[in-house]
Amino acid sequence: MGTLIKLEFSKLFRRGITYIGFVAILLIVLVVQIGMFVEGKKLLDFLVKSMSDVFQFEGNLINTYSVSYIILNSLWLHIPVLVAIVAGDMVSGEAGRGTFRLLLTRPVSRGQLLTAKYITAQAYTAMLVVFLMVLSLGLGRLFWEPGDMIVLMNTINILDMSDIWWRFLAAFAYGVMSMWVVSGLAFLFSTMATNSLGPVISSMSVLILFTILSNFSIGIFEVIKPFLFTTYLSGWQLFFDDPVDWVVIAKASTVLILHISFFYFAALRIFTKKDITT
Amino acid sequence: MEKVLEVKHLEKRFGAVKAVSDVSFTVFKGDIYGFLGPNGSGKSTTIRMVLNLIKPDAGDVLVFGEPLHGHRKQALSKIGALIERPDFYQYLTAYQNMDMLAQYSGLKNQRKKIMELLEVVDLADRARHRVKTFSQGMKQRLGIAQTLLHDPELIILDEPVNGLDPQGIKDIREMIVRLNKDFGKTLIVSSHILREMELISNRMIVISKGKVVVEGEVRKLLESEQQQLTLVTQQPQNALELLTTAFPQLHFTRNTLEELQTTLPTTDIPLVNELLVKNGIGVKQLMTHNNLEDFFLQNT
Repeated sequence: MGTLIKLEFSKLFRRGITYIGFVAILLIVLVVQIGMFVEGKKLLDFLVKSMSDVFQFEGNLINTYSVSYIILNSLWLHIPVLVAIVAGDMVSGEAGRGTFRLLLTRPVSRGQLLTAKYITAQAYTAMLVVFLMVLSLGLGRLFWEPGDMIVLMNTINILDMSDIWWRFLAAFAYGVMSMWVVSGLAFLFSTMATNSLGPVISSMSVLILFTILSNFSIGIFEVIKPFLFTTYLSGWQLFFDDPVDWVVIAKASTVLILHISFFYFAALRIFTKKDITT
Repeated sequence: MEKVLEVKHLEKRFGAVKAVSDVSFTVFKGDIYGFLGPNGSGKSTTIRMVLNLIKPDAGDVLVFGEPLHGHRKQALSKIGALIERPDFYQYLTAYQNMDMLAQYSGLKNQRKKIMELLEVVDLADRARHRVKTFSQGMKQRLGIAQTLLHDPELIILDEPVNGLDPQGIKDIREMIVRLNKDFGKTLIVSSHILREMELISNRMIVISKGKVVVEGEVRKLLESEQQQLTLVTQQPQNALELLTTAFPQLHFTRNTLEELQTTLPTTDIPLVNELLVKNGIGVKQLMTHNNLEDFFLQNT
């Protein structure tokens, strides 16, 4: 299995498409950092305008952490697209290029081959999110000083500088898990297709549809909402609550892990039964 | 003789279309086994079922006596295959492709062997070149080299000469014979280039519309009681009259100015020649046709 994973990594990083994600993340982070550097104060003034009668703000509210928090919102759409591009190509790309004929006539287990590909896709996903973390916090440190962080959700949370690092680490770790679901979904579609575009479009369509359903607070959608993975994709925000609601996080993590497992086993079943006709 | 591959009553349906129906055949050690059939006859589907790329609806495949079903890995360790186009990783070199495929077969540190195999297919000097720069013929040769990586006893080549120029076809043909004679490999070769198959295979199967039309030794299958005869003479009209009178049961046709054609029992051929010569009609050429192409056309 180790050799198979090594081979999959070797193939992955010899292809240009693999680096699109890293370049795109670099651009996203740079755009947000520069944008905040140039126009951030105006934006923040607008956001805290209604509170300025009640609160008195001292110092610069825009700092390494607040900008990184804004960047974390790219986990909604940007990172899923980048993750799906690679995960969606893992199996379908080999089918489309005809290389499966070479691989699957060798004495290698189909199940092991698929598992190696799944692990590689998920490792790549984790790398992208870690890259986002390193870049947003690291690059942010070049533009800004660290400081206390203000989080505007249902409540206003002001988090002390010394109480932030672990929250970011936990939020990014949760971000990795939520992106594994998207990656798993694209991978599942990849086992059904013979071109790379289909799985990317299909997984993005499901993501958008489920996100809409997750945000409908009426009738039947209320019933299915707890079972949709999209309901929990923004769960990383929970780590910036004070106090952190660990029960909700545990429930969200369970649903995500069940999805990750389901997508893997469904892909495994499809692939091991699949006729290679391309 | 040792049975290398036994295929028993294979069936495969794609939706409403029955692609393969009750196909059975046996390949023995040392064979170059021709797998013939028109396009869409079910050749590739059958070969893919033998390699477990496609799951059969019914039937069994035995590799060296072991069923393929449930023993896929063991069976494939004894088979090397090139299916249709050799689609390699274009962004890798010939060596890197071979090395990667060796590792997928569970082989490590195969540098010496890979270079030897590239030498066999005359690609050693292109080992460090990316496959995307290769011609079709070079890719086919590399495709054959990769079948030998894990030293399999049976090699399956599906349409190995597709898209090749005459020199490329000749190279592959010689390579197939070499693998059989020098390396002791048993080969199954599917092709629709019948002349090539006639030259190299000792046994063959012809399938059409997913069913076996005929199977057996090439030499015996081509032996026939009836042969097609082409006769070239400077006096075709006289010859035609004489032969029609002497052999009223035969139907002679005049193809060109000097050429007559008929189908007749093999035993009658010397009689035809003797009759013409005795009557002073010079025979420029006397040709019998009994090749694989005629056989194929008659049987599919």
